[in-house]
Amino acid sequence: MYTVLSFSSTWDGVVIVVEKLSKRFGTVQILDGMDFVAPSNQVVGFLGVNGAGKTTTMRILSTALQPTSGTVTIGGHNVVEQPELVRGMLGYLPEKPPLYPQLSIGQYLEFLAQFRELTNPRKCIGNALEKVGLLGKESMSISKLSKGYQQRVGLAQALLHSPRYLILDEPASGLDPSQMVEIRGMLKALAEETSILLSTHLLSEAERMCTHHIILHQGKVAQSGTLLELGQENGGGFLSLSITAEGWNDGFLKRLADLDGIEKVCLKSSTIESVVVQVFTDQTTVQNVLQWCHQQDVFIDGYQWEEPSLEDIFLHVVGVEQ
Amino acid sequence: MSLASVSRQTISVLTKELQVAFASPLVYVFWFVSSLLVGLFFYLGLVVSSEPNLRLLTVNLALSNVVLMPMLGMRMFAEEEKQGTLEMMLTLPGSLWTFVVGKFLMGFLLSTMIVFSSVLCSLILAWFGTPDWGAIVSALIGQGLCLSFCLSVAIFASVLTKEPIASGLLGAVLLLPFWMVDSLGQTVDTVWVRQIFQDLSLMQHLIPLSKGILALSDVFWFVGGTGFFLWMTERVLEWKRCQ
Repeated sequence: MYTVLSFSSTWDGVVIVVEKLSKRFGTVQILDGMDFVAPSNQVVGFLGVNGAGKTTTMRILSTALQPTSGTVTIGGHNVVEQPELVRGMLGYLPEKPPLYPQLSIGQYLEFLAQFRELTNPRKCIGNALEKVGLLGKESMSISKLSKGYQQRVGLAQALLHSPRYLILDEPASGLDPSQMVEIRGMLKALAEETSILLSTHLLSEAERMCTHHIILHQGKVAQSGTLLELGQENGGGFLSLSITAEGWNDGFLKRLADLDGIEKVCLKSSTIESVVVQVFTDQTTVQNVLQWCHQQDVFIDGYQWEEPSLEDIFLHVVGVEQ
Repeated sequence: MSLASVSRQTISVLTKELQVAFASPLVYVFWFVSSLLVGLFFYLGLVVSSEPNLRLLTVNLALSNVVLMPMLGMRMFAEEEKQGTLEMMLTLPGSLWTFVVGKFLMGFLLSTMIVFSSVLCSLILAWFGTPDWGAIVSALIGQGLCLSFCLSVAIFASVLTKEPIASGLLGAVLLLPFWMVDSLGQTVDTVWVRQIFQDLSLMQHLIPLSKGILALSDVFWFVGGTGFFLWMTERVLEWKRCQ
């Protein structure tokens, strides 16, 4: 079931290569032989349920943590053997923005610019603040900023040295819808010159923001690819059946699932009048399903072949019934 | 990485640390309490001994350092971990020593208020009498060395936990044995064990300095101890990165 699609045929370059990555904390195996590659100048979504290993992987990629085994290379540099090189070209925003509430935005970024020994700190700070929409707000105290603005300052510190690679752990967490739209636009603009790997729980946002997706499950990569590739990998879509409640009975779903060519059947919604069922199958079996329903005296209000959303694919891959 | 580069990074950490410190009331409370204690110990020392030097002041300050230095150092790394900036620190290009030394320098600069207050006490002595300047300079050096040792232990305690209060208490607990080990040594009959206890004693190395006896072995004890605890701090940070 677990598949890593081939990226090399469709992407110009691969910037992050993860091979057999494992991480164990005591007796708990967080990552279990993870493999994936991420392409250049794309926004890659890192998806998974809580505990799937997203944050641990990102911490290893950002050199904040060392793996138990396996190799990770970013831009051709091994994160364990050449961490200083990786740190110089990587921007990292942890789940909780790393901020000093006692400082102003300007003081905070100035410290980081000086520490990174940037040749033109003023210009770098100006550029980073412009990208996150905070230009002119350098004197504001970080403690007085809203959560959305604090997230922007966190993003500005990650962008300060114009990194080639950006790793963002839940950048949209805690943002209101308008802020989310702004962050989405910002990341799309950044992706023109930066390779971005971001994790998020918001699948609808990931679908809008990311061009590629990596789905993690139980410390491994379950599937990865573009939305189209993932959809094809998961049967290319599903049949959505609307059935009148009169013809509905408890054994219907089980009998339908037992038919040849049916991978999975899910109950999507039900009202007093009708029931909507998702049938994961090949498009060629649609007529057989309709015919079978007719033979079972089940009246179908309507049906349509639907392309799967990222949420459908994610739930299908991690094995969660809707 | 060149020494110049490390120095620049250390100065940037020091500047940031001072900005953060002065935004908190802790520094002002620390200055107020330490100045008050210096004045009190100076007055009591004169009343008890009538000696025109800083001997009793320096010895008594060593005990107050067991509480004052953990108070100053308790937030240094614990707060960084609590507010999530430690993770950023671990992913910045540069040596972890820059953070350890930068924070130590910040703590040392702030705690020199104690030495500065003692200098004022010396001037008062000079106003009313003829003090032994050699003994006073030696006592001031002793104060500075004792401060740096206690501060390094406090910083080490701060890297062990992410709760500043717990870090402060731990710092005091780690420092107490260095202060008490001398008394403990006197209860032991075995000579070599007693000698080890005396070698470990902070007071055994501070008292000669407070009297004006500037022995290199005592200076090395404080400098070595400070270096050891700063090195341990750096090791714990590196371990956090590798765990």
